[in-house]
Amino acid sequence: MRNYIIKRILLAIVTIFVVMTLTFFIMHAIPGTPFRTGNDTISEESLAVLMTRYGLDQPLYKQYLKYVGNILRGDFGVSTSNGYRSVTEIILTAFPISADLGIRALIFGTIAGILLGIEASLHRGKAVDHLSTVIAIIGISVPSFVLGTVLQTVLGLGLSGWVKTVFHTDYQLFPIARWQSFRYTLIPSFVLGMGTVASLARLMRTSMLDVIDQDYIKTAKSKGISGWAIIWKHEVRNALMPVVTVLGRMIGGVVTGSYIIESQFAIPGLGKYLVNSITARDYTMTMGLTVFYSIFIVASMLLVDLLYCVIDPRVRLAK
Amino acid sequence: MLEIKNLKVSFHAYSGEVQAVRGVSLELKSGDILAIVGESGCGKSVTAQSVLRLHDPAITDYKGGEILLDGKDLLKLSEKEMQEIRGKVISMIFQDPMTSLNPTMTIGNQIVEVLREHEKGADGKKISRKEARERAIELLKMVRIPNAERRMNEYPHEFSGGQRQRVMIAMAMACAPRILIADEPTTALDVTVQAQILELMKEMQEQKGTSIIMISHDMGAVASIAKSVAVMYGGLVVESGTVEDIFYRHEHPYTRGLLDSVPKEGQPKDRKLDSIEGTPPDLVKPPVGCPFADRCKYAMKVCKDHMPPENALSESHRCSCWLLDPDCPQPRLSLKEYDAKEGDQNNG
Repeated sequence: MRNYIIKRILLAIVTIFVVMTLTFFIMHAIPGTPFRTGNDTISEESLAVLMTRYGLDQPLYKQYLKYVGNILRGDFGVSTSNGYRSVTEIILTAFPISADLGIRALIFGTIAGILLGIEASLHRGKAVDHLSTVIAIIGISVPSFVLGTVLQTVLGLGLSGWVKTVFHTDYQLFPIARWQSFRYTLIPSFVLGMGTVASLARLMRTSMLDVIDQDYIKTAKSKGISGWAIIWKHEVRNALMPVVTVLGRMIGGVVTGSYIIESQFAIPGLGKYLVNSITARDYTMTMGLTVFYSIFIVASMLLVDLLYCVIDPRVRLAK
Repeated sequence: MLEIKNLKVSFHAYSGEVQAVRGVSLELKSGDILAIVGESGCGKSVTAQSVLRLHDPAITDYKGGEILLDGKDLLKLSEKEMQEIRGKVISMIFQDPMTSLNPTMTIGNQIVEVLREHEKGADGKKISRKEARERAIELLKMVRIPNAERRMNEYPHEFSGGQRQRVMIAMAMACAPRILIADEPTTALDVTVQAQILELMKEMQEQKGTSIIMISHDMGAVASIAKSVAVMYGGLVVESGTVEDIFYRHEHPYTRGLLDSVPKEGQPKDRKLDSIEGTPPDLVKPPVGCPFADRCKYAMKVCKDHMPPENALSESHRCSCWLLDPDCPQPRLSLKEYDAKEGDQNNG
């Protein structure tokens, strides 16, 4: 088991290194520089000074080696498109907000998705089952910005307008945008979590139906175990395995992939920095975020694989 | 003790109503080992699992009959009352020990679970986890699992097939049930292990006085363990009696066919095994008459049109076949005599 973990961590480091190297060379292959991306008015002289100052006039391999050296020392450099603030500082201020949104969405999505899947499987062909199908279709096919807009209009504007006419106050239960207190988190977390709800509900339903037909469920029933105990102790745990696998990929996706929702709800998270840094040829910012995200995603997958060992004893032997 | 009277069970499938059991009557006496034999799809498993009502209620219809345990009809009990009977009064082991244990739960916890569901501790309250564990270790020792203490914490995949079936038996015997239903307990096991499992079941019956219903299509296993036998075909019991009645004095052509299809010692290697030609009847549209008529070489016109009545051949021996009818052209001839006669005609 320990050897397995060590092997996985070494592999993770290699993965991160490969991602970093590829991103570095791809970024530098895009035409333009951090100081001139299009029709900027910067003079040739100023450009030359800046390029020398940030070492961008050096041969690419030297820049690469220097970058790797800096990363190993924990120095991610400064962001040229954000007033030369340090990349580390930007990540440290903005990521907690993205992560906050992501974790809320993930918790909501996982719990709601799994419970909905269980309910649907227990009442196959009944109303709950059909409802879960409808939710899954909406969650997968309706883009988050559409769902977000609808909720902003109905729950944000509509509800607060109604509250104002009836109770004569400006209280907003579901504020339209920004990230201030718990109320503000409700709609964005819901919208971001819907995709998770949809896919997990379907997966959990299929997985449950598969488990329900297994022989050991009949054994449990023949032992006189009550219906609820069979569902929770025997069925759900076994049905969770495929869900856990998918969850690993989702953690990375949900926590990092909220650019659209962050812009729509004016949430000061990390998403906008990544997209902006690419258009601004902000090499250090793009690289810093890529390395950070890859560490994050690789780590969450590793975590899930370890979690798998906890849930499924059969994996533990296969070192 | 356990009496099944005219049980009828149907399943609702896409193809229509499958009449899996069409009026089965059986009796299990205290201390008996009753074997239900027959080929796949004859309704033997359905009959046995109906005793514990394990079928999915959404698609199962108990259309008629009674399952009486000490005079109480199990088919009329609530689900809650059934739970108190399952695992405590009647327990069950299944065909495939590889898939019958929960893969994500330790063996120990699976045994403890059934004990904690039904048993009371020394203080008269629900048995404590610690006491249940001790009892579980004893049970594993009883079914001869070596290093029982250590193996309590292991998972099913760490056990061999035979050991898993032993664990199943330990689990089924945990609350000292009065009846053990074994649904093809040796079918999925190696031949050498089969004998050990049968031996173990026999031991349980002798030491604990548990009555056993064993479902099988292995006539060898039946001969070595059963005291009485019921032969099922097409959702009906066609012949029943003591093990001697069935093996030595059988009257039903189907029973004969089953016994003939067992390979015999000293049989020449190049000789093909005897088999019963044809396939079992479609139970969505079951035949009006004797279900075996289509495959029976002794079939008469009456067999196809009318269900044969049950004939009592002795105190224990029952057989439903028109050949035993007093109006049959050659009544009361044993099947051997029939064949001999037929042989004479062919020769002559």
